[in-house]
Amino acid sequence: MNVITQALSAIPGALIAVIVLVGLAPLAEGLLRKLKAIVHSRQGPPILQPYLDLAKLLIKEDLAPCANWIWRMAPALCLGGTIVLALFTPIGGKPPFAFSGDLLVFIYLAAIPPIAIILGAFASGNPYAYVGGSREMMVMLSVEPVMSIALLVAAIKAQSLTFAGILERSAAEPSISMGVAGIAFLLALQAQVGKLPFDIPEAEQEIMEGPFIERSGPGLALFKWALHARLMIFTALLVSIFIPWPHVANAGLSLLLTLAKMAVVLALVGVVDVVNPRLRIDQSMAYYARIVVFVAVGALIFAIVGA
Amino acid sequence: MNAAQLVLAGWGLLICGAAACAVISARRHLVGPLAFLFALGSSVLVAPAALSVLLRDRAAETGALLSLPGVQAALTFRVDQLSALFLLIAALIAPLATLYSIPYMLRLRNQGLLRYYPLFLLFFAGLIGVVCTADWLFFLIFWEFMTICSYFLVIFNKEDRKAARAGLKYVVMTHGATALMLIAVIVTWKTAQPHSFSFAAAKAAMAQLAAARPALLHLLLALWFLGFATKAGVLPLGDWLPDAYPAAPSGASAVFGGMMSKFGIYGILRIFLDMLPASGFSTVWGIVIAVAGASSIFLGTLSALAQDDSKRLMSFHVIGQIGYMLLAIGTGIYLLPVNGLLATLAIMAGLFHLVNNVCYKTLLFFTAGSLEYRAGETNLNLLSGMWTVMPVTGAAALIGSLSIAGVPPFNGFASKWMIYHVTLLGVPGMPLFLLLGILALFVSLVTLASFLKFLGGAFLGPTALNEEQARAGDTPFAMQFPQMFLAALCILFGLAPMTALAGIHRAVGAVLPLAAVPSLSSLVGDSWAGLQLNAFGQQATGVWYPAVVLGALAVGMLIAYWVFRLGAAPRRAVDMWQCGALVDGALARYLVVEPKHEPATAQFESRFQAHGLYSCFKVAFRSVYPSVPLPHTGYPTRFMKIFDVDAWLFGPIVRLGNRVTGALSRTHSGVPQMYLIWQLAGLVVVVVLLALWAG
Repeated sequence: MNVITQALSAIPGALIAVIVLVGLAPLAEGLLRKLKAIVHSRQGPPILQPYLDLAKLLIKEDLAPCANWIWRMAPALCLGGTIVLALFTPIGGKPPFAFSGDLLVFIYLAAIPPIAIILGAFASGNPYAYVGGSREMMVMLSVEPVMSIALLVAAIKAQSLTFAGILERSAAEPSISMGVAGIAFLLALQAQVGKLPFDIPEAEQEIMEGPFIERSGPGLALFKWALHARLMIFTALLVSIFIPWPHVANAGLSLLLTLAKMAVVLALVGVVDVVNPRLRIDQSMAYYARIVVFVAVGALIFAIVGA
Repeated sequence: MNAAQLVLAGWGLLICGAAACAVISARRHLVGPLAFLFALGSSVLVAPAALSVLLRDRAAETGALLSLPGVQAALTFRVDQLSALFLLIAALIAPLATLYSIPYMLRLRNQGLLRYYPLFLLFFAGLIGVVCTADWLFFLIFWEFMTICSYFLVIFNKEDRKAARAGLKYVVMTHGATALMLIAVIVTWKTAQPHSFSFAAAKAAMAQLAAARPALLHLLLALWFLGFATKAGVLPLGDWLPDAYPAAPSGASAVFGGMMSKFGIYGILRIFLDMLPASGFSTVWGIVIAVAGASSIFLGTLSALAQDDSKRLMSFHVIGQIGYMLLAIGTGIYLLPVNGLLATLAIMAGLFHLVNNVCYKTLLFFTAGSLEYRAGETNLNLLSGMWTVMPVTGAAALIGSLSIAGVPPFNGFASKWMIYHVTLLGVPGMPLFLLLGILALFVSLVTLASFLKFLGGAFLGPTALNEEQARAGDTPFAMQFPQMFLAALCILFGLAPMTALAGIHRAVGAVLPLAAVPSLSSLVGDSWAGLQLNAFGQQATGVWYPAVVLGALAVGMLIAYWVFRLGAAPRRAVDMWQCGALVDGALARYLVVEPKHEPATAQFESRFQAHGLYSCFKVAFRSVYPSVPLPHTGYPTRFMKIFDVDAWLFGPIVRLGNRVTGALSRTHSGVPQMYLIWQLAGLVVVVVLLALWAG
């Protein structure tokens, strides 16, 4: 089939993916805030508060400390990159744009929003933003190996890097290597989405939101939204690849089931977020270095020997 | 006139150009454009010839130009498809680099251009010779010719003692490597029956050795590999590279970093694909090459992260990027006897990365040179905010950086994607390649980190220049054009990888030791819009349609921009907010280098210097590749003392004289009482003497 016709036929699926993963992301954030409030024994904000926050930011003044077009493009690139990433994220079934890219494409596309954040931060020239950008990169450097190896374990089991092959194989039967890889991915998720104890790049109390220190109004809104969506995207990926059971033939039902599983994982992430204090960057790097060596490489060895 | 004769004509034009430039080198404004005209003319001859060889898929040859019947060596220009690929690269870069050099070299007012343009053109002639000869003796001659020319370009700056030492290290190490290759050539010559230096004879000799004396063949292959790996810059053999490349003028550094290292890869392909039959030797040496490549990726890129000088940072990345090519090519060589389809794919991936690397690496060296041209500085700690002054160079640097970091949909991603596929899935029986592939995947992110450091340090942030410097604007068009051209190529090969792969497929096909070369569509699909890897089994194991992803990204960004404008938020320019006060000292631990220029703004003074980026990560990997300084060389000290007449003859005499006259001068103290005492003492002496004489 021609690529263009494939792209056109993928549009409905793409719309659903974007609505679920990007559109509903602030809602998930609202639920997490409610969860946090319950742990704190507070009332907490309304569940739709994140939408209201974003709406408020969109009408606020856009303050610009520099006239650089990298600075101006960064928020759009960050959210736009996240939207593209959503097109390559499986939610229960094959991702809508799976015909034009595979797992490696996903791994590399996942780097675009952080690149936008870091370049935007550097462009502002603020020293705090530089510190935040530097930390963002270091978090990426420490988390990426864990996440990539976990995903590659799935690819090695399937002997294919396409989503079709991987989802088919991972749904077939549980295996030790996939279990261990799933644990590694879950451990990486917390830092990948910038939740405590790994929200080191933003670290409001130390470096005042780091990369976003100069951001205000709609720019900040776009970045916030992209971060909310990132949480959804990686949770969906974890659930679809490592916990694909039970199988449901109906696409709509499968989507709902996946969302339910995602809610469980998100609740876990939220609880870890609320009960942990922030780590230092070197502590977090040492932590992930240990995970790479013991968990991710362990999963890889299991996969190589065929377990 | 066939293709090889055209290439020969282009080669001759370069030699003539070198002579002409040498004659008029005193006319500083004339010599650059003249060199450019000759380089362009040569490319106009060479590029169509190389293209025709690739399109017709048939090698071309001149008759013997020079033959040495005594040793059975003959100089013929033979252009096969692999040579044609490298000729195209040389024909692309030569005029661009010469054009770039025109304004750049004019800036160096107190340096004679006689030591630049003629050598620069001769260097390109050497490159063309290396890939066109079909005779190992003349190959080595051209190889040495190229090395010597590049040596003189490295030591171009006479006042720079570090450059001289870097050049010395370069020439010593590469000559050592050539000596190894010379041994290999002579042994092969001796084995060939009848004795001959020609490629065909060497090929037959290798096949014969593989059957009769495998140990000797392993030794020969080791010598070849060491020789070419030294030139390509594989660590630790390439230790000379990060010192030598930054020392040359930027036009030359760009050519060295962008091209010269890759000719080591050409040599490796000639030996391990063209000469060596697919056999157990391929299995062993495939592993060696892949491991050397992976270690080069790891060491080179992690060392690059710690560099604060932009040209030095890029030189380390030359090493890292060569590693990617070697990893892919090694995997391909390993697979040759097992799976011809995947082997072809792997080698194509390596060569595709090579082509992409030529584009973005040359581009990045050019941007570093432009920074030097405008700001007089390559240190990332002292540069800042150059984007406001040089937006075109900045955009080129951004494209180059994203390409080298493998951000889709730029070209670096397409080739890395292929490399990961063959290493991760191509060799299920040998998990080593899988591990090397994962290592490469991780290091790709380190590359991104270090180029974000380059962009953040040099181009973004508060500006370092005062108003007068800022008014100078971007670099001249002659420096911008090569960058734009290469940036366009980076995008083209990223969006339509098939344009490059079609040529590369033929180049690889010409030298593969396989009975039948797999067709292009069986390897990467038949769509011009993207790649579909079919070589692994029944179903496609990978797909990559860059245009679709780029289109989706554009739509996504438009949606994001629509959201951005949804609230119609007003925009206002403000000062940077540093928590209510200008920071001067709070971040002092990051400010390691004093700024050279008068700081333009208070914000520049409180900026975050590139040195402080990723400090924890750099500390964790600090000991990965310690830099060992070159020991100081010289004659034995005892020997030198004999010639130092000052020290043992004149010096002591002069010192003695000084002491005596000093003692005498002390008598003239200027105090009258002292003179009276002297008179009295003299009187006593005279009286005593008179008394003695009398009595």
